[in-house]
Amino acid sequence: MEIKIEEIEDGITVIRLSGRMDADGVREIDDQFAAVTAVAAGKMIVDLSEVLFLASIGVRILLSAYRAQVNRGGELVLAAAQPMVFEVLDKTGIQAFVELYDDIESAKGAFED
Amino acid sequence: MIPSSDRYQLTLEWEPSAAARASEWVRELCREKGLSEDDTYRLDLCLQEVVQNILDHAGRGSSASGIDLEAGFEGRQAILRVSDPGTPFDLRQAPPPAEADSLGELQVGGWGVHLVREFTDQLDYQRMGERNVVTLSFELKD
Repeated sequence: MEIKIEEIEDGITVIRLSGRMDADGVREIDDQFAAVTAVAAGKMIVDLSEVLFLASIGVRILLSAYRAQVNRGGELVLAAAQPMVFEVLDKTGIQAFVELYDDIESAKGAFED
Repeated sequence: MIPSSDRYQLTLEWEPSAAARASEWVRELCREKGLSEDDTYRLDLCLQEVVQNILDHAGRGSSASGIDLEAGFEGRQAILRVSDPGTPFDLRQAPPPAEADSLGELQVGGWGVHLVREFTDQLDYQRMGERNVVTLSFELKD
C-alpha cells in the first residue's frame, strides 16, 4: 500500500490511500497513517478512490483514525470508495459515525461552517 | 459438499503470512475460473478473514499440522473449506459487534467474523476429530 498526504485549501488534509487494505497492506502504512491522524486535530479527508480491497483490519484503522481525530477535536471523513469497498464499509455500519462522500469535492463540504 | 470434479487444495504453514498466501491462492483460482471481480472480492475477503481469525485466536497447541484449504466450483456455486488444528471454535457463535450509541462505545476491531457472515451465502462449522472445519458457500452473482 501507499499513502500520500496533501494539504489543500481551508486547512484540509487529504490522505490518499492506495492498494489493498489487508493485513500486509495496512502494515506498510499503519505508522504513517497513525502519525497523520492521531497526533494533532485537523480536518481530514481519507481518499479511498485507489483502495482496491478493504478487509476488517482496514476498517479497524479507519475507525481508530476517526476516533483519534474526534477525541482531539478534529474531523475525519471518507471519500470516493469503490463499490465493493463501499459495501464492506456499509456492512459495518460505519456511516452511523463516519461520513462517507462520493468524491473529494463533496467531502470538502463537510468542513464548511 | 465440495464437488470432486473441480476441486483444489492447499496446505498453509501456520505463520503470519498464511492469510496473504490464502488470498493469493484463491484470487488465482478465481482468475482461472473467470469469476467476476465482485465474486472474487467476496471469496478473497471471507477466506482471508477466516484464516486471519485462526492465526489470531485458534491456539495451535502442540499440533505440527497446518491450515488446510479446499476450493470447489460447480455451476454458479463456489465452496471454500478451511480446516485447522486449533482449539475448538465455532465462528457462527461469535457474538455480533455491539451496536454503539456513542463514540466511546464504537468497536474499532472484531469485524472479521461479521464480514464473513455478511458476504457468504452459507456458513457451516464442524468439529471433526481434532480439527475445526469451516465451510463457506457462495452463490456466484455475476
